[in-house]
Amino acid sequence: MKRFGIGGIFIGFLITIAFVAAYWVLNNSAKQELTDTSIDSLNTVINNKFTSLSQYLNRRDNDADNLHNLITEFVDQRKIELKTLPSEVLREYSLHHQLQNIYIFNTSGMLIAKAFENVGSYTALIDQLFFSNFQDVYRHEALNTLSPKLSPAFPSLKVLYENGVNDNELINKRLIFYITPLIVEHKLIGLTVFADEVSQLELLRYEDNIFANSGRVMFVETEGEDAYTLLRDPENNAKQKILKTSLADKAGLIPKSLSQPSGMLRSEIFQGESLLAQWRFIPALKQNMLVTIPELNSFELLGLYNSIIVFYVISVIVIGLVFAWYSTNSFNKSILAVQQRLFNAVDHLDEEDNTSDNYKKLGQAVSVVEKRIEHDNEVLLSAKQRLRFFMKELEDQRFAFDQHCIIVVADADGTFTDANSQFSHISGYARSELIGSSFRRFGGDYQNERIMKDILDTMAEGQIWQGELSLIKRSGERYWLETTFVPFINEDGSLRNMVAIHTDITEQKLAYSDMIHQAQYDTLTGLPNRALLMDRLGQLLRNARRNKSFVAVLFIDLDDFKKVNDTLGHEFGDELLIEVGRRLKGVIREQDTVGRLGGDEFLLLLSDTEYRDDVEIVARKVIESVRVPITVDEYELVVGASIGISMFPDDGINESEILRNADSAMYNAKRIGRNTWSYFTEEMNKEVARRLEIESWMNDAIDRGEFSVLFQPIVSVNSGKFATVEALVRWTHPDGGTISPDEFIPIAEHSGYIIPISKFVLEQSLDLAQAWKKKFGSELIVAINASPRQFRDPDWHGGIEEQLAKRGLTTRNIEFEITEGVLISGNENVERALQEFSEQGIAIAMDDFGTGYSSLSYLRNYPFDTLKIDRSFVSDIVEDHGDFELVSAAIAMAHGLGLQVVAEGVETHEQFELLFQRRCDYAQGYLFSKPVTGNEILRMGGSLPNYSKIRQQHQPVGQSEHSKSFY
Amino acid sequence: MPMLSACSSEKPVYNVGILHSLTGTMAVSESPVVLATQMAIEEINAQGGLLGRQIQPIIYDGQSDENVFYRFANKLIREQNVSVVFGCWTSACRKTVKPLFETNNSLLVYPVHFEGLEQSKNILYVGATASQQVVPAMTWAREEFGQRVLMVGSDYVYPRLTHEIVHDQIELLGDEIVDELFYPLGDQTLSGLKERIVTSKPDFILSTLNGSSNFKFIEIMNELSIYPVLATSISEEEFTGSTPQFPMYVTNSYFESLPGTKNAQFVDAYRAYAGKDVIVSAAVEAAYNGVKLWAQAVKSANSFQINDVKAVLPLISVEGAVDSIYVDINGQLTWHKYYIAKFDNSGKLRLVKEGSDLLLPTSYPITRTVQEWNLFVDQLYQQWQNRWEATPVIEVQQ
Repeated sequence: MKRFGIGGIFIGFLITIAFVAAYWVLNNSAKQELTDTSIDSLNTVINNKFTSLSQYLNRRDNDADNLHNLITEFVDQRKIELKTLPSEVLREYSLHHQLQNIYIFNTSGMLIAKAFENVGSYTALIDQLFFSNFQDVYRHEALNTLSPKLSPAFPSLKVLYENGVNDNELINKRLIFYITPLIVEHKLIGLTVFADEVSQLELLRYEDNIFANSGRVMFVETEGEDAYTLLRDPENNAKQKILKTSLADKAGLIPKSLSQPSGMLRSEIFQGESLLAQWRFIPALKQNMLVTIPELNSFELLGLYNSIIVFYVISVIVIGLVFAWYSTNSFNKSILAVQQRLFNAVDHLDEEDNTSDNYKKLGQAVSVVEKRIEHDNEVLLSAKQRLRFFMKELEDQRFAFDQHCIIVVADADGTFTDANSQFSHISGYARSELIGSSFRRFGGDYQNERIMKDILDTMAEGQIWQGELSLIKRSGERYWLETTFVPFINEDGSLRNMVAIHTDITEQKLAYSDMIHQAQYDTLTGLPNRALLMDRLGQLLRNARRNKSFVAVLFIDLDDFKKVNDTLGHEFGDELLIEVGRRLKGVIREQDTVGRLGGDEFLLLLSDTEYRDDVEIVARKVIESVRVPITVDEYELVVGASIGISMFPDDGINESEILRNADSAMYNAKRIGRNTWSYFTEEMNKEVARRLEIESWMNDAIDRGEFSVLFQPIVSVNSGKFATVEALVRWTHPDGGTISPDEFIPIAEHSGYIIPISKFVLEQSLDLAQAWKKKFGSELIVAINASPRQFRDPDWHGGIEEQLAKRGLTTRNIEFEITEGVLISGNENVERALQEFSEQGIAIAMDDFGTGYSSLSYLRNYPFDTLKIDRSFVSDIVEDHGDFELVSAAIAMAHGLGLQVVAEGVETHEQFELLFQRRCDYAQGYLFSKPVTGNEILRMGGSLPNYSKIRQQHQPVGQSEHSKSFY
Repeated sequence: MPMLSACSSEKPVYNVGILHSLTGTMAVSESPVVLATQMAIEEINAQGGLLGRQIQPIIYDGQSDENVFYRFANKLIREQNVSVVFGCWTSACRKTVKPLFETNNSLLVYPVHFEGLEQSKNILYVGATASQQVVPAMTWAREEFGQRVLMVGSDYVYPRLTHEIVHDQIELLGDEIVDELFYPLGDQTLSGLKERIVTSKPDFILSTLNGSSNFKFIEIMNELSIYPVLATSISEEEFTGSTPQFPMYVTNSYFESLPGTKNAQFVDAYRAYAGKDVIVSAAVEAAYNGVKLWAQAVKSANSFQINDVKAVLPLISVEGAVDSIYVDINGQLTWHKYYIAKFDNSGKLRLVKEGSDLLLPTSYPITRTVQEWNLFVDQLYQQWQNRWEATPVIEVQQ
């Protein structure tokens, strides 16, 4: 009896231990499984990010290749000096490939071309960066390895940290540069730089929602003894922050993760949380990527991320828990029985002959048993608590899971055995209707035999099926689900049932198709946009090449559209564009394409047009249809169109060439008289080449002293004296000879060289004014032509003040001459700048009056002091009475507005006589003096050497009352 | 309690191949590499193996003959069914077996620096490419010695292609190649070299000579004594017994004399394994790292399957003896620093220049397109009658 009792206790004890052990094993294996799953998830994140880096590099590699080929091709064709080449090429390339942020630097670090639209807040820094030794470093490295380079993100986390930058925007707009040496004909020409915002790269994109917000991706950069970590701000999930960690201390997540190139840490405490962390250093970017997940924060964190595995883990745990519940309950019963038996035995002992020895032994045994029971009870209690905790958590998880996912359970044949409320909700069928029905009932892809077969086959193999399904609601609407099918397999390997977990992706799907449309069609007119046009043109050219057929491209630009927009407003302009688009659509055949390139530029693509006559018919139709008056609101408007035509294969062999040449032809059409069309000719290419040649010469022209400034007196008609001279820039190139301002000024304007040229002119002019003042003690006014681009130059004003102050001059020494072109350029800065000049005392002249729109409203609305009548009118006033009347009217009108009048291009005594009669205030021209050097002006000292002769021939008819001087 | 029983039943060993020359002219170079490979495997086994399995190397002797390499590679892959082979030294050998690994989807882990101009999803190149080694070293040398270089090399694929890359680089820099000579592998005369150097008076000499030609080369350079030499394929072995009488520089991604305790430990461990006086070459270090990289990939993929291993390779890195070794994102090449060392009077290499950063591996220098490079490589192959080297000088058997 005694033996049995003690033996029973031990057996009971063993069973207890076994079950507790079983529970722990199960629990731990679940834990292990969770950990493994976590590791898998971390791996997946890192893996995806690396794949994206590889894709990015391949893409940029290709981009750089394409661009370099284009440049080489261009150089071969145009025989142009390379060092200043490709702003045109680059612009075209970037538009075509929709890459916006490209820079080309020459070997000395000068930016020679760029195409960018928006590289965020750091745009202004890029130029500086590459002018500095940054460029040197990369050029050196490029030569050092003959390979492309990827720069680390710029600015560095250290810089951001030290400047207290914690704005998400600024952090996400950090840039990385893909830098390739530009090699043409075995010469290093410079560097091509693609700038990309880190937020555009999946690799570096800061992720705030991995593993249901509990995971983190951190990026660590080291500088010196410190590490800077970019991570989600624990206090504000939507924000990022930068953490500085000293590496002198070797403990902690960050230093540990930097001590090895890659690795994993478990149970690492970071910011009060126990983490599982995995990392990999990215040598290309010189930063460490750390991905972390809270350790065993159970299912929630994984649930949304990897629902399938969670399902599996949940079922394992449920089985384990049920088993453990059951066994602990039955154990409790058995242990009570053992206790009872023991007490019985002790009672029994009292009655019998009890030797103290036996009693003692039994007493010890009892106390041991008691202790063990006590201990076992504690273990059980804690096990129970844990079980309860897990059960609760399971229920919560299940609830959370149901909230997010659309879940269906089906048997092996595809008959629904269960579905959650989310599925009823989205499908429109009640749960009771669903259960017992076949998948096939629910339309869409569930009726697609091929897809269903694929799913069922995959299930039968015990594999997981993932894909997108498109289904039909009860209401007939279509919806899309991202779907994962998971098979549950019997022990014999056969399929028991399957679970389908869906996520509704209908919105993304619809948004995506919208996006595709938006990416290819112009939102205003609904016509194909540039990208689609280029695509179609490429397609047409490929077909034409195959069939040896022809393609014609008509580049259409509306005449004076800008004027319409400026005078009647953008809405009006938009309406006009829509109407023109509609009309263009009406004139083309079905197989042709019409699209809008942007602004007021349209493109027609005509295939299979062998004869020029055919093309001309279309061109004529276009002009006629556009010309029909367009009524918008109460306005009726007639617009013209200029058309440039280029044809494949005669005028070019690829899209960009054809388009470029059509563009050139269009400009020609505008020049020869608008509202007409022009074919592309090689001449036009020569013009382009000449333009580029001049642009390339301009690069060093200032440094080499090729520019000079001449001055032409503006003479008072009454006194014959002058106190104003107009500054005129001249350029003599060592090879190209004298290049006329008419030719180079527009190019300088276009390329931006006008800014340094204007600065040079200003300095020369003020030098003269200073010398004049020194010599004569009086003020000389220099009239300087202002260019449209200067109005966009933020340094312009400051520069003028500085130059004046340096020489002890005042704003009265300057007069700016402005053409109507500047006013209608639509630049909003112009009005403000003119106002400011006027307030500062700088005089403003309207230049070349009569050649443009000669709009009175401009004269009224802007603070002009002087009106300069264009030489083309002055030259004919003697012969052409009409011109004489016009000039007279202009003078009268100007005087009426309180302006003084200068007649330009006065060459003969007769002209002078007439101007004198009409009380013109000032005259300028060869009759008095050609443009001369500053020294010559100083020599003249305000009096004209030949003026007495002029006066002798023409005695003024009475002294004018109107004898204002400039002061 | 089945769940309590330990899974301690013996799992079968996992076979891997080792294929290097243990006899013939390449044996001197390749035997230490085999030892390094074995040492790495033994270390892994001592720590419990991979995925619970012990790694068992199957070693074949390639006998310094490409045809033998081809035969044994075929045997390893097709008959022994290994998924990975650690092997090859010369580029000629690698190029010969490459198609075998590709058609059978097996992995070759290749431990030697090489010229690049090649890509294979079935080779893990643990050594540096030309763009990580010769090209930066040339930039250094031109600044150090001058812009006029004479190039001399053995007439097989590595020197030929390396020279071609250097040609492009020199042209870009506007420097001058004053003369260029190739000698068949094994040539001991180097006839005309001395005269051509004296005539052209280069600022320095780039040597890609391999194997026994180096002995004669050193002799000649000792006589001339003043010309600096930058060599890619010379080690301390060639100087055993003689000290260089001229400025002799070598470039590589590893030297045993590099500083650091980690390196000292590695050198000691290797000497303890391979022998007291052995020289620890870059290929030895790379071979050791190659095994570790592969093992890391197996662990990370939790699979020996070749496709699983290949899929994770881009994420793999190991701590090398000096620099951390990262597999590049393409999963084929590895990141390296370049080092330049000079032979001192005792015939030991002393570090003189260390590259500032790990360099991105690129197979194809940007001076030409991939197609152009491949075309050049193909033409070379055809020119040699479909071999990867010019006819070598046969040592006459007495």
